[in-house]
Amino acid sequence: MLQKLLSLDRRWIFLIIAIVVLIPAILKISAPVSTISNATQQLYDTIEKFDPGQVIMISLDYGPSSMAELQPQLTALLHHCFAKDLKVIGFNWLIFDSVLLGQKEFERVAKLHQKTYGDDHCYLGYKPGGVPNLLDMGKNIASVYPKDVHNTALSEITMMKSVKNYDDIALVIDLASVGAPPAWINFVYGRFQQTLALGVTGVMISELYPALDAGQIVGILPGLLGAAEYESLIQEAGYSSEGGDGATGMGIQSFLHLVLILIIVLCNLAFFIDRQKRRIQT
Amino acid sequence: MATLGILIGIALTLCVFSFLYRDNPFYTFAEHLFVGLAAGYGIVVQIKDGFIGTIWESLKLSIHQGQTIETILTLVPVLVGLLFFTQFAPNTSWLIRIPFAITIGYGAGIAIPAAVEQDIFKHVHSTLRLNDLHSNLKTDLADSLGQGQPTFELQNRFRQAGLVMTKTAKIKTIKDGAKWQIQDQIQLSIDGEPIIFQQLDNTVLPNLLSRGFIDAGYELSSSAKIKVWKKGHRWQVVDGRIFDINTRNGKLVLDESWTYTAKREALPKDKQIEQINIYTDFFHRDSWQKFNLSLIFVGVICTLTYFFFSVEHEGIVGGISKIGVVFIMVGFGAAFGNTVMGRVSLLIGRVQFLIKALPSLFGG
Repeated sequence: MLQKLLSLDRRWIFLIIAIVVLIPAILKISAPVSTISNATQQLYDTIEKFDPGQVIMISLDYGPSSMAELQPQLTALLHHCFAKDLKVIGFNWLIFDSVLLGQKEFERVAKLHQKTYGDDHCYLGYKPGGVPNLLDMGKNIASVYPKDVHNTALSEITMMKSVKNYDDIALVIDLASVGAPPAWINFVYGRFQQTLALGVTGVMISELYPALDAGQIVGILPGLLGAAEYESLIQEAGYSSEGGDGATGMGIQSFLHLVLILIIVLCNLAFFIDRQKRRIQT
Repeated sequence: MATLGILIGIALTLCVFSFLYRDNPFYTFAEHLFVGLAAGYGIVVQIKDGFIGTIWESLKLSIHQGQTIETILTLVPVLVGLLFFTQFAPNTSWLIRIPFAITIGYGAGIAIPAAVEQDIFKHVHSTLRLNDLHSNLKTDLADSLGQGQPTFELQNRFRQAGLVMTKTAKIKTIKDGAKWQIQDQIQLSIDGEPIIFQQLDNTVLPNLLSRGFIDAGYELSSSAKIKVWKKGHRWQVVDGRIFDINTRNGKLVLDESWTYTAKREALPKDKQIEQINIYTDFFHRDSWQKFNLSLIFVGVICTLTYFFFSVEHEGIVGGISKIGVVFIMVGFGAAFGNTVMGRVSLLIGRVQFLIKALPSLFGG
């Protein structure tokens, strides 16, 4: 039995994980969010304090491979912004294959809140160029994005008439699965003192907490957990009744974590018992 | 068409997951398809948005409008960029040094100062700081202001502390009162002439700017220094005074033993927005905050010692570096835990897609 456990084919573990993920996903079991982390609460509070009409910029620096974690964050943030009558600009300065991800979600959530394109939100799309583009937008956004994703000149978009550069943006939120946050912090916060917030994947979160502690960002959403927390906050405030993927995802995560902990404990126990037996034998 | 898209999505998801059993032709097919599609899509986007959108259209416009300088300004970077391709011919390969030199020079020029300032100085400061934005006082103030306490009371507090604003200034709490934003409708002027964006460059001396503030109704202490943040965009008034905001009545109760320093920041717009960050003294924070800050401080020193190889790791240094190892392991553990959670999230995302997509195929 012990030997079987120690030489267990990893595919059995894959199968167990598949079952543990599938059952709660089919039954749509969502875990209640009991506590909200400070990082998420701070971002929520920052947006909550904005006056209607202020402009939020959301940079989508993730592709389809990370949408499981970051798309629910985007949805929750958009619900909050539109419910607060804030104007939202979406764009992709780094990842070209995320244009459709952002554009479709902007349109879908805006429709739910009866917001119109051009007046309440707009989408600028992708522009190659990298960091110099971020710097140029500090002077003039239209110099980097003369047209939006629909090929309409920025000067013809109502909400963009009062937005020239970062000075007119109340908050920039960077949703990232790659190394974009350091660029935002170093160049946009550092040079323009722009208020920044982040939403990142679980893999990236540990290295970005120091930025929150140093006051370089006002809040940070940690992966799917951040999305679930934010969904809980906006639902509690009545900004959205739409059940998000974050809460359902965290329900599955909770079951899976329990199973993973059980597997780790069992395998460690088996390892130590086996080692003890070998010592006795020798 | 949408159904076909969903079908392809489901089929490819299953093809990729089949690798978990063993490597197989379905997985290889999905892998090759992904690489090919990503590369093809990337090339098309770079040509459409990069070459056509950024270069071609701007060239066409400038040539059409007869703007010679704009045409040259677009053509020169393009020609320099094309030098990258000279490496394919041995005779001209040396020319690649030109675009490399420009790229590396530009990149280093913008990246190094920013990284030193934001990654090193800021983080060292936040590790060693004796002052902190987060404090208990914020709750009291935010609560009292939230209950409809007139903001002029807070204004009086600032005034008593020597920070005088104009009569029209309004104070608003932001972010749980850790920061106050002072909004004022003043128009700054120097010698009667209004200050506008373009004038705020290095030619406007800080003392003139200081006079502009005083003329507008702000009283600045003699120790206040004005620093132009960046050319023509914003400035910061740094005041060395210590604020001791005393307890006066029931609502605006602050811990009177605490001391605060204020940093004033203003944007040169028609509508002046001034932000005052209140920093609390390390020794006047609660025990938990003191413990946390001390732990971070000790952790950083011990971890850095572990990576300091100029001294033998023996005796005290060895002991400190061993403690550093504990902190490193905790850090790696946290990173690993978050990574597992992140990877599991990706699996959950795909499973959620399958569960949503499958019924839709059958009209569900």
